[in-house]
Formats: sequence, C-alpha cells, structure tokens
Amino acid sequence: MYFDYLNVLIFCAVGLGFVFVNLIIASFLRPKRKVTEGLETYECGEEPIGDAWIQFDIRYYTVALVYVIFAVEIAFLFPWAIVLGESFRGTGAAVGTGIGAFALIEGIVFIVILFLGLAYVWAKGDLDWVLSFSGPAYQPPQERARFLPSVHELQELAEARNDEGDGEGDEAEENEEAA
Amino acid sequence: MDRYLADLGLIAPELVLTLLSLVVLVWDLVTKGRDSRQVAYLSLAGLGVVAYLLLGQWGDLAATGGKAETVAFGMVTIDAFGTFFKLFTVGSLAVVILFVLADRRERKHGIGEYYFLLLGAGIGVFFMVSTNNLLLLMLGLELLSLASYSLAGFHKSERRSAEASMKYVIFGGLSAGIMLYGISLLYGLTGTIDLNEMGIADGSGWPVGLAAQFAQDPVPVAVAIVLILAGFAYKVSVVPFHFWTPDVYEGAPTPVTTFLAVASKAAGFAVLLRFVGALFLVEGVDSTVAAYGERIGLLIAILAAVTMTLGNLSALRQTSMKRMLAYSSIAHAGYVLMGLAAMTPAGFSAAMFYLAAYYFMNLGAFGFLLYFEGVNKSEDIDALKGMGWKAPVVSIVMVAFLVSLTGLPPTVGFYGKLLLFYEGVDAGLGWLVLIAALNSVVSLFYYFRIAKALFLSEPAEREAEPQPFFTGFLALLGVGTILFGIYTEPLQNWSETGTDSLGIAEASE
Repeated sequence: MYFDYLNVLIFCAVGLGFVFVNLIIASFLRPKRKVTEGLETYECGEEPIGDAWIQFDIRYYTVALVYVIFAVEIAFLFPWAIVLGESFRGTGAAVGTGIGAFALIEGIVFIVILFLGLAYVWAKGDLDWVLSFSGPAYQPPQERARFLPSVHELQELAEARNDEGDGEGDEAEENEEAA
Repeated sequence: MDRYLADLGLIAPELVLTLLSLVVLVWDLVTKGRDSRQVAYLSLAGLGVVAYLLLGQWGDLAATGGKAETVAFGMVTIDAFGTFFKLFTVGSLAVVILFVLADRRERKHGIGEYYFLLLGAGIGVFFMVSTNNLLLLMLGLELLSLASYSLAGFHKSERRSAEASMKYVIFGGLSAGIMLYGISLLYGLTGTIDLNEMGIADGSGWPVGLAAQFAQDPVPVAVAIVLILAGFAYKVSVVPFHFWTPDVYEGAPTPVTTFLAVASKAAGFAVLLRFVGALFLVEGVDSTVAAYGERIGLLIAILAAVTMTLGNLSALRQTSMKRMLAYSSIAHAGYVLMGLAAMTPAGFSAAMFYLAAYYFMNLGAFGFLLYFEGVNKSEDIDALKGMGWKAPVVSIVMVAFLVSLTGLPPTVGFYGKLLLFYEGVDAGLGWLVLIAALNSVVSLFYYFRIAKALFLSEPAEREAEPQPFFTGFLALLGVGTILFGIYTEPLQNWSETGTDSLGIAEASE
C-alpha cells in the first residue's frame, strides 16, 4: 500500500468525536431557558412563517444555478490570475513558458462564453422574479407587472382558509348529529 | 505562445463545433426565436464545415497509417479511431436536426435551444471519443449527459417527457458518481489518469501502473475497473444497467430518442473500446495486465449474452413501436459487446463495423417511427395496420431497415453480424455466438410484426399525406443500408484503420 489508511480512519474518528464532545460540553455550560423564541426555526433573523416543508418556487433553483456557474468561474479564475500575474511579472513557475498572452486570451474566451450564458438567462427573462411556465411564452416586464402578495396578505389568506376548513368540519358534525 | 497554438489545428473540428453552438445560441437570442428553422439551417451548414474538416483530418491520418497525435499536453488524442466516430456523430447530428425539422408535432418557433443542446452534446462526444485521459473522458461524458438530460425533457409541459428527463438525471447522476469513484480509485492506485501509462508501466518507477498493483493485491484494482465499466454499461444500456432505457426513450421527443439511441450509445461504445483497448491490449502492455484483461473479456461476454437475451425477449411483448425499438437497442448493445469480448484487434474492428451499420439502420428505423407518429398521432404497432399501401416508399424502405436490424442479407446489418460471429468463434466464444444466433431468430419475430402490420393487413381507410422530402431522405438512408451491405469494402477498411490507430497488439495471448 502506498498510503497508510489508518490516518484516514483516525481522522474520521476524531472528526466524529469532535461533534459529540462539543455538544456534550455545551449541554453542561449553556443556560436552559425554554422560551418560545428559542425553539423556533432560525431564518436569518426573520420571524419564520409556517412550515419549512413546503414546495419551494422553482425559480429559487434557476437563480441558484446561475449563481453556482459564476461561483465556479471565480474558483477557476484565481489560479489563472496568479499564473498570469507571475508570467507577466517574470517571477514564479510560469517564467519561460510563454504562457502569458495565450492564457490571457484563453481566459477571455472562457469569460465570454460564460457571459453568454448570463446574457441568455437574462434575455429569456429568467432573472425576473415573476414568470410563469404555463402562461404565455414571454412578455416584456411592463406588460406583466404583477406583484407577489405581501407576507400579511399571505397570512390573511392562510387564516381565511383555516376558517373555511373549520366551518366545513362543523357542518359535517352537524349533519352527523342530525342523522 | 506558438507552441500552444501549434496543436490547435488538430482540434479544429472541435473548435468549429464549439463556435457553431455559440453562434447558434446568439442567433436564436438575437432573432428572439422567431423562426427556429433558420437556426436549424445554420446548424446544418456548420456541421457541413465540421464534416469537411474531419474528412481532411481522416485523409491525413489514414495517409500516416492512423498514427495518433496528442494535443494539449496529451489530454486530447487525435487518431483515426476517434475521427471515425466523430464523422458518424456529425452525420447523425445532421440527421437528427433534419428529423426535428420534419417532426410534425414540434413547434416551428422558439426551439433554438433544441439545436444548441444537440450541438453541445456533439461537443461532448467529440472530446470523449478522442482522449486517453480519464479526466477529459469524464468531462466529455458529462457534457453529453447534461445536454441529453435537458433534451429528454424538452417538452417540459408533457408529463412523459418530464418523467423521462427526471429518470435520466437520477440514473445518470448515480452512474456518473459510481464511475468517478472507480476513476479516483484507479488514480490513487496507479498514480496516473492516462490509460496508456496505466497499462504499460511496469511498477519500477512513477507512475506505478496496474501491473505492480495486480502483483500486490488485485482486489482494489478489480473493484475500480468494474466500477468504471458499470458507468460505461449504463451509457450503452447493458443489462443490468438498462432500466432507464425504455422509459427515457419512450418519453423523450422522437428526434432526441434517435440521438440517444444512435449517437450517444455509439459514443459510449467508442469510449468503452478505447478504455479496454488502451488498458489491456495496447502494444507493450505488461503481461500480468494482459492476463487480467482476458478475465475482463469473459465478464463482458457474460454481460453480452444476458443483455441480448433480455433485450430481445422484452421487445417481443411491446405494443408501442418506440418502446420496442428501445429494447431492440439494448439487444444490439449485446451484439456489439461480442466484438469487445473477443479482445482482439479484429474483434474491435468488427464492433466498429457493426456500430457503423447500427448508425444507418437505427437512424432509418427511428425516422420511420417519426414519420408515422406524424401520420397516425400514435406510436402503436397496431396503428400501422395497412398503412404500407398508403405510404409505400417509406414502408418498403422500413422493411430494408428491419431486414438489416434482424441481420439478414443483403444489408449492412447482416455483414456486421457475420463479422461479429466470425470473430467471436475465432476468439473461442462459440457459446456466445450460439446465443447471439438464437437471439437473431427471436428478433426476426418482433421486427417482422411491423412489416406484417404494414403490408399483410387490409389497406387502411385513412390516407397518409405525402411528405416527399422526408420520404426521399429515408430512402437515402435505406439505399445506404443496402449499398454498404453489398460493397462492404469501404466500411471495413475504415474500421480497420480505426482499430489500427489504437495500437492494439496482434494476438495478445
């Protein structure tokens, strides 16, 4: 074997132990005050509304995908920029390889292709928040100016729905009694 | 800078194809998807340029005896083997684009992405068939897969299409993960991601190579190789990794099914041939590794037998022609694997010949399916009853494709199968050839159900509106199927040139 796999095992064990040891220590140290705010789901400081187990809007994923593309681009461009800088300054490992100008052009080509992706998403209207898949294909923004309901409106809607549900339940009970 | 640019001429086809796909995307955006047919014509013109460049490259490579040249620090290997598959890929891309144009159920506007995704998948194929480097191979495979996932779900409002895409993504993601795990194991064990170095290195220096690992402990190496083979087996839908095939093929739009069944599958086989060839059979391979290669050959032979039997028996019961063709493509994967299982250069070129035949007959069969989907609004075999008299040219051409798919003379499918059987017997796989022959008899039954429905039923009541352009095009493919079955010389020479360029040693045992 060219690699001592025991290292990996120990690493895993320490990593696993670290989590539980910290949790146990924390359980001795932390104050125990079970107030309602402390038990609520943390949502970036906002007050959570309803359950997290709902269907998320697919548009979150479109934006997330676009974000991922550019995050990866940044990760790729850091080493590229360093090689480029060294090559032009005449220091480091890139000296004498003549890679500078070539890498610059290559990097620009790479960025242009990625930018084309952004332009595509933009032109197709996927960066606008309100866009329906089942409706008409694509309309300019001003023609489909429709706003998402506010949080309060949503809450009122939910309450209204709950009330209706209760009402139906009562009616059913009444019917049973009548029978 | 010059030494970086010097090699770029060799990958000119790839560069042009990439540029083409970008131009297609921009063109579609600029014209706001008003007339997607223009985008299709642009793609076809661009593919013409790529084909021209590839033919030039093929000429150069054939003149030097198919010797391989590497580009970009050994990442890309340009050889006759890769160019053979690239030429067929370009051809089938062009055919698929024509199918999209002829598809009566497809919209005429706002489908520019269709062509962009097809070309993107083409770029993936181009890179995966021309590399000995596992990293680039994986990247090409993923590019092909990602484009295929979105293509399978192109009719996103259609439930079947969305389901096909979902199944494809899940199966594809899993198998890509399995394959990457195998690749990482292989890299960890041998210290290189170059297939040739893995096979040749004798373990005295760096990279370590496979031989030293086999001598020490063959189990990890075997696990790694089997994991990678599982990834390929998924791509070419070999049993037991075939479950996605019928559902995805059925749900995807028919032109996309054509692409998946023909270009994508052949590309998978190209990579599989190169992988096995470069690892176990290449000139100067270590004897321990070569001995292990024979065991892999036996494994592949067993998979081939199971795949062709299961594919054919399942195809028997199908009522939908699209699903039947999906199972038939599984069965054909089994036949091609026979050539690989022989583990000889001749077996490899027989497999290449059969893949070339497979391009012709399956493009034709799927074209026929598309034609009658437009006419009948249904893909059931029953809906074809008596339609042979209403659209005689297409139906007669289809009979030629069916004869070829069954493997009867005088078609290209017959000669391909003959070569595979011959090489199988030559490599001592008589039992496998027997199973394959029995399977061919079984396949006769379900292929000729279509011919029977077309011609041996009462003439149908409804009329088939003539589509002269589409008919002529299918007839052209039919002529190719028969012509290459009679004049087998050219295809045979091309596949032999291709195999030669892999540098596989004659009679490795």
